[in-house]
Formats: sequence, C-alpha cells, structure tokens
Amino acid sequence: MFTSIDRISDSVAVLGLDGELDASNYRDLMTTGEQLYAEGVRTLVLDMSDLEYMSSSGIVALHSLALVYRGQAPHDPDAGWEALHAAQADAEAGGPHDQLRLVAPSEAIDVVLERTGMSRIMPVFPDRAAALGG
Amino acid sequence: MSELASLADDPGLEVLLAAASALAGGAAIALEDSPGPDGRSLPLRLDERTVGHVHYDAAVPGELAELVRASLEMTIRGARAHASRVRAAQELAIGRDIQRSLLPRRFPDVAGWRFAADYEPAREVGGDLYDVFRVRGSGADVALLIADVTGKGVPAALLMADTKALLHAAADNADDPADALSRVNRILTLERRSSLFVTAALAEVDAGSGALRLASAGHEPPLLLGPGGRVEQIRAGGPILGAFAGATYDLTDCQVAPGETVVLYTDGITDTRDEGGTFYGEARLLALVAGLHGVEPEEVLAAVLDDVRSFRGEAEVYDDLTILVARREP
Repeated sequence: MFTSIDRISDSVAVLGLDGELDASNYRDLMTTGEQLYAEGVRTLVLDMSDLEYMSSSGIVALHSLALVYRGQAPHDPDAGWEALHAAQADAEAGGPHDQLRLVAPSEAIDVVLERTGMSRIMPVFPDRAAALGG
Repeated sequence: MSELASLADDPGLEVLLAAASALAGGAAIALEDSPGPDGRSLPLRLDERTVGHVHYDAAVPGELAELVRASLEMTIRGARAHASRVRAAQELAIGRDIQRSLLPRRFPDVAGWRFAADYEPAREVGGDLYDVFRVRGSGADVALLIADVTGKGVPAALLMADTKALLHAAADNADDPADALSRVNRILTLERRSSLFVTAALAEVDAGSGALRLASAGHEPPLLLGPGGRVEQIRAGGPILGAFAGATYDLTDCQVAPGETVVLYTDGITDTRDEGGTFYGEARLLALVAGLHGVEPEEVLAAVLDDVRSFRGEAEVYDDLTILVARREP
C-alpha cells in the first residue's frame, strides 16, 4: 500500500499511498502514521493520487490519524474509549484542523470522504505542492 | 498443568518419542520443562521463546535428538494452528448467529406496501443489517433501515445489535429520522466503547400518502424507481455514526407515487469485483434498476442479485450483499 515516505522537514512528512487501502492493511497505515508522529512529525500529508480503492477500514484509519495528529490518543481497540471520545468531542468543538492533509483522492474515494464526513475534519488538496504550501 | 504440557497435549508426541527411543536401542528420550543437568538436552522453541527441552541419554545420537526436537516443534505448531482455526470457525459461527438473529423473520403488514430483502454474507462475518419496523410518535407508519458496520466478526455483529436496538428506540421517540440518527450517534460516540463506525440510512414512510423522509449517516443513497426508466438517488447529508460527537443529519423529503419502488442497499453491491478486479459500481446498478419499474419487490431483488453474482463470477466475495426493496402498490 505504501510507495514512499518523504520527510519534507523534521515536522512534515508525505506518505504516498497506492493500490488499495482496506481491512488487510489499514492498521499498517495507522502504525506508520503513529510512528512518524512519535518521531516529531506534526503535519502528515497522505498522497492518494495512486490510491485506487479505499474500503470503510480506510475511514477508520484516517479518523484515527486525524485524532493522533491533534495530539489525542491513538485508536486503541482495547482500552480507553470514554477518554478518547471525550477528547475527541473537545477536538471537534475546536473547529477545523489541518495536521492531517489529503492529496488528490480519486473521484470514487472523494465521494466516500464526503459521504462519511471525513472531509469535514481533514482538508483535501489537488496536489502535493498545494498541501505543503497550505 | 505446565505450558509445555498444554502445548504438548497430543498423542502423536508419545508415538514420536517412543519411535525415536526404539531407533536408539531403547535409550530414553523425553520432553521436560527444564533443561537437562548434563548438557544432553535441546531447547524447544515456539514464537522465539523456549517452551521445553528434549532430554536424551548418552546412547542417543545427537542427530536423532535434533530430529526429535525439530519434529516436536512442527507438531506443536501444527496443533496450535489447528486450535486457532477451530477458534476462528467458532467465532465466525457466533457472529453469524448474532447477525442472523437481527434480521426480521417477517415484515410488518402495511396497507398498500410490499417489502422484500435479502442478505448474502461474505465468508467473513460482516456487519450488515436491514429492517422494516413500525414507528410510534413521529406520525409515520413504518421505518426502513439499512446499515453497515465498518468491521468484521463478533465485535461488528455486537455493535450492529446495539445499533439496531438504539435506532428502534430512537425512531419511536425522535421527531424524525435525522433526530433519531443524531440521538444514536450521541450515544455511540459518548457512551460506547467501540472503535468501529456504522453507516446507516433510515427512512420513515407515511403509508397512505407515500411521503418518505430520509436521513443518512454516510450511507449509499437509496434509489427511487419511477416510470420511464427514471431513477432518483435520494440524498441526505450526514457523517457516519460513532465518529463525530456533535454530528447533525440532514432531512430529505420525497414522494413515492403508487407503483414506485424504493431500493436501499449496502456498498457490498457496488464494491463487488469481477475476476479481473473491476468494480460493479453505482453506474451499472443505476442502469439495471432503471428497467425495473413496475415489477414486484421480489423480482427487483432477484434481478439485482443475479446481475451482481454473474458479474462477480468466480471472484472472491469481499463483503456482505444486502438489499431492501419497498414498493408502494399501484
């Protein structure tokens, strides 16, 4: 699923995604994103220009990373949900955030982002340059 | 029981040790928890841990002891893999039972309306749900519900059971379907311990007038089939349930005329792939149902499922297929 990780600076990284993001690999995306955060990355750009398909598991990964990059706890399926949900409510009340940015999703993926509400919490850019300039 | 005893609970191990001992002229070879005192023992490794030791007499050739050690490791790994497959199969069966128990056995009798639905599970347990149920309070007669959990297995089935109960209660007490979805979303985000999300479309229908009010939580838009090949996607904005604490949902009104049909479905239909990996897609579904105005709900159901299955061919089944059809009689 990953083609590349580009460290633009200490605090900015671009992950290039390709192929399919689904139940078989969405946890890999979460893990990679969380590792980059732990290394000091605070703006994560997901380049989706070569991503052909995203299942609903992809939505879970994006939502989780959006919270991580706001400084909230990562999704842990086993523990701490009340705390996470409370933190999340605060984060959403705080208005738009742009620590997680998406680049060039396909039309089909864009429909899913729009329909599920993900595009409300993560900005979508037409290309890498626009995402990095924003 | 030591860890080794529980791992090595297989009659094949006894046979293997006895055969090795016979090959060494009756010298002792045994499986023990601790290493031997005199260096004549070999560690048994499993998942990069030592779980036991093969002890052997001076009369046993080192190569034979090594053969026994390697065989024991393989046997234990095989037994563990088998146990894990059995557990997975049991979990699958439990998930299927929960999921099947959520589907309605029969539809309510609603004057002037007919319903049909089908659900085809994928190999893994998914979290699809459909329902037709009477509502109190909002002035509507009957609710149509279709939903899909973003996950698999028992957790998805349990979340779906929870969501179904919440939606029924909310539909009875809320002003309209949008209010019902926002109530359920509030409970799922603030009170439930789940990392899974739910997409859902909830429509309330006034049976006599054909007035339909729809709210959607990130679900595929239901289709309204009219005469002359007209197919309308009934859209209502709103995010998935369980992800955004303060989410609100749009309400969309439309009119189902006598003879017209409403089709609700999950993305298992449009995300079906053929053997080459191509998606079935929304466009093919819309084109197909455009020719299905005026036919009975069971026929709409059969036509869609037949077309999806023939498109799929021998390709792997990735997701549940769920479709709910409601027709206002002419």
